[in-house]
Amino acid sequence: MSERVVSVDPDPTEGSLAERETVLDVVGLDTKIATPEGEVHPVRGVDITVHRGEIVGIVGESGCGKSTTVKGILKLLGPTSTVTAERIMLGDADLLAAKPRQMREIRGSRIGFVAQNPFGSLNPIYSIERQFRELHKAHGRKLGRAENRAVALGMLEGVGIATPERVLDGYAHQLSGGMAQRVVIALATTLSPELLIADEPTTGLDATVQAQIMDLMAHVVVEENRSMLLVTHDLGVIAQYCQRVVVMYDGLVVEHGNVTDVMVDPKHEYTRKLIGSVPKTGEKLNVAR
Amino acid sequence: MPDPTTPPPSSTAVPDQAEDLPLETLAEPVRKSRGRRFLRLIRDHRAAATGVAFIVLLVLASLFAPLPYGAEETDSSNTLAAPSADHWFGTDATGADVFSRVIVAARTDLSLALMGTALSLVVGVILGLAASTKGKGSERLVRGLDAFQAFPLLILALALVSLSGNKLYMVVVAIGLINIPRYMRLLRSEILSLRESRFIEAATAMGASPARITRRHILPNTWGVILVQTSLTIANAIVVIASLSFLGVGVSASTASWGSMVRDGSGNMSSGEWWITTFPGIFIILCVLSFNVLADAISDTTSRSIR
Amino acid sequence: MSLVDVQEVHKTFPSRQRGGDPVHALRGVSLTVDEGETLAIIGESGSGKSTLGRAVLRLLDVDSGTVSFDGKDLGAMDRKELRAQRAEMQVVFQEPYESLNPRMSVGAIVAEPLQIHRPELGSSETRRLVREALERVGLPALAASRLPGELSGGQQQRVGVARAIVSRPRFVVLDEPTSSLDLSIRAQILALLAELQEDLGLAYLFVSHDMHTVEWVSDRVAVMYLGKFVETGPTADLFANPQHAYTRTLLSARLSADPREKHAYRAFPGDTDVVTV
Repeated sequence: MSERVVSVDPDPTEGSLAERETVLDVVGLDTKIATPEGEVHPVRGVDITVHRGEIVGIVGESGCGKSTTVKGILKLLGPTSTVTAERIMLGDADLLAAKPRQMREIRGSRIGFVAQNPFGSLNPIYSIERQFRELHKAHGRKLGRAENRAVALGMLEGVGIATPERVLDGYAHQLSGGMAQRVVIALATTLSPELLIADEPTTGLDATVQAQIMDLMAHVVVEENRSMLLVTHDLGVIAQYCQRVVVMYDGLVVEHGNVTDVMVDPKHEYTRKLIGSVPKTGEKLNVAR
Repeated sequence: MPDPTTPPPSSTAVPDQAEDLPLETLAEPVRKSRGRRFLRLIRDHRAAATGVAFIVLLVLASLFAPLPYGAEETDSSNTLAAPSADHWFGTDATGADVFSRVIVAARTDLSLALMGTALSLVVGVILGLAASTKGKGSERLVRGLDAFQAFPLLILALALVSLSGNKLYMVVVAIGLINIPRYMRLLRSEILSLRESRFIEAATAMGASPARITRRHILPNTWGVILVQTSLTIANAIVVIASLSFLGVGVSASTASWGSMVRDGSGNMSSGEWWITTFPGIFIILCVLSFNVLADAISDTTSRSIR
Repeated sequence: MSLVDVQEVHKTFPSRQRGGDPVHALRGVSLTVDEGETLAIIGESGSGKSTLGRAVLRLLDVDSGTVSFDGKDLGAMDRKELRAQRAEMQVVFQEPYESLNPRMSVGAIVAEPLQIHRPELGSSETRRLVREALERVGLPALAASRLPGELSGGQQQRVGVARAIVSRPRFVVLDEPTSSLDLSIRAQILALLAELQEDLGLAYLFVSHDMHTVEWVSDRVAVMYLGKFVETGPTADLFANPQHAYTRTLLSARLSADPREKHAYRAFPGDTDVVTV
């Protein structure tokens, strides 16, 4: 039985963080959405920074605005929404000012997106091989069939699929949830983006599959010196895979910092409440018996 | 970059009670007063409200309004007159006032449509319930339905009515027959999908009998789609009645009916007297439109996916 | 004698695909639950745990084996007897909103078990018991006039619990009762369930995929994999000293919310679709 230990946090001293390149810099992100009942503000004044080689988590319960935040950064909210900010920079690219065409180029080649439901991200009528080809085409790269296949096989092997040929020739519905998510990760990283954004990538997957997928994603980030912004409601995922965390409640950031600091010694009462509500390993529910 | 360990100044007040939602919010009147909700309903569905107003006015006018002329009142000195202050919709070949005839025709057309719909509703719902039970019987019923629907139903209506000697009640029966399949299909699919619901399973798990489940859980959840279908059926029935009377079947020649008026005036179109056909035609369209839009509105407001 | 006694049940479902293999959801499962105790079933998707939960209540019929409640064979009962028996064995489902009739008021929902099993109670007595049940689960009496859609997820689940206890059952199957709820609500609902167990002397069958929850709430646990139990035992022992490889795999996949505790995931030998990169 093989044992795999993933070590994802190099010692987070202030010095080494400051030296690292800033991949994503978001300051004062606000989103407004027009609804029949009036305007809502799901995200208010959110700041997020991600450095190269880092995994930053956004954690909160349903309705806190974490998904809307990343969709706002990616400009994937619908036409009824307005995204404003002081700054949204991906390295040197200004995402805030980017036109739709520029955003389309950036999505896929500089930012890889992994959503919660892999079957929503995979086209049901295209073979997996075709989806790789379409991806390249969308970014202006035309590869010959053999070359595309070779690249795709390599990517599938890279995400730990034991039978890449079979998966490549097959279709999304033939895959289990975990396998489909691996394919999505392969597609998301094909063009070597510097930032991966994952929105609840393992919610709904079995615990064992979740561990495998999270190990994989962490590996991809660490080994290839990328960075990741990870949205989740699962404190275990945050604790085990992220170096820094942003805690959101009702559209606001209530606390942020190093994972160890925030989770072991939370300062804000909401963070305390959240962390206090998760049973720790070995704890027993004690009713006054 | 601000010190990461202190909370930002704008922290939100968090409910400190150990409750997921402060109990006080349950005490707030979540439901506004009936009057305000009704007004809001109208505002959100203006087209449907207009349609309903039109139908109601039409019904009232056809039953009670004093009309400028009798529907049967002919005037051979003033035939084929164009619309004017005297005759808003002009006169037809016998000199009768088209406007009065159009309004009176509503009595025939709408009442037949409503009666036919009522028939198909009652029979269709009962058959729909029967067709949604597990077992061979319901399967056969559905196959029978498929076979029945394969037949061109307007022709069937035509045949039924004319073979019966143009009895008016046969028109009602014919409309009923044509629309029973729709109700059956609808009920059956709605019930089958409801049967898979978790709350139905919960009812079984608490020991409810099948009869109780049908009565208290399944049927109340089907009213929404039944209402929508009823509105659509009425719209369809109006078209069928107009078609039948256009073909000279069912409604006797002397009774005012939009379909026969359209037919009567169709010959005059080429000679330029457009008003005889057009106005009844417009009323058919307006009625059908009104019921269709109403169906949309009902569908919106009774949608089950409100959370 | 155990309150719930399941012996060697098998259940096979026909395949969903044409000509596909049938699904062996239960392959010889046996369990017992005593009065007042909590037995947890832990397993992942495809393990058959939800099927087992339903089989124990005879919400589906098993192909072979027996399911007994209080010494009586559920499978031998006719429909009417079974329905009456249900007063003593209830269930709380995973999705709070889905398990409540959207057109019934909360009060009517909670009153229904009483109307079915104790029709001799007058309406005012029924109302009183409904109010009492709502209070027990932490909902105010005025919640009775609300529709499920007007409540939050946690409140809806409380209604589900109120409905389950109003007929004074002895046994409740909890099918992932907190999986669809927000983190901060889960603890409250679990605490509520523990309190009710204490006050009403309930036995629980707690079906879950979440190891932390299972460890927290149960006395005994059974680990389920592909339709069978691979390991059972007292919770504390099993978690401290897992014997079976699959149990070890499951436990190694736990992600602790304490960043100082690192678990290393150990793959189960049965998993051949993936290789560790």
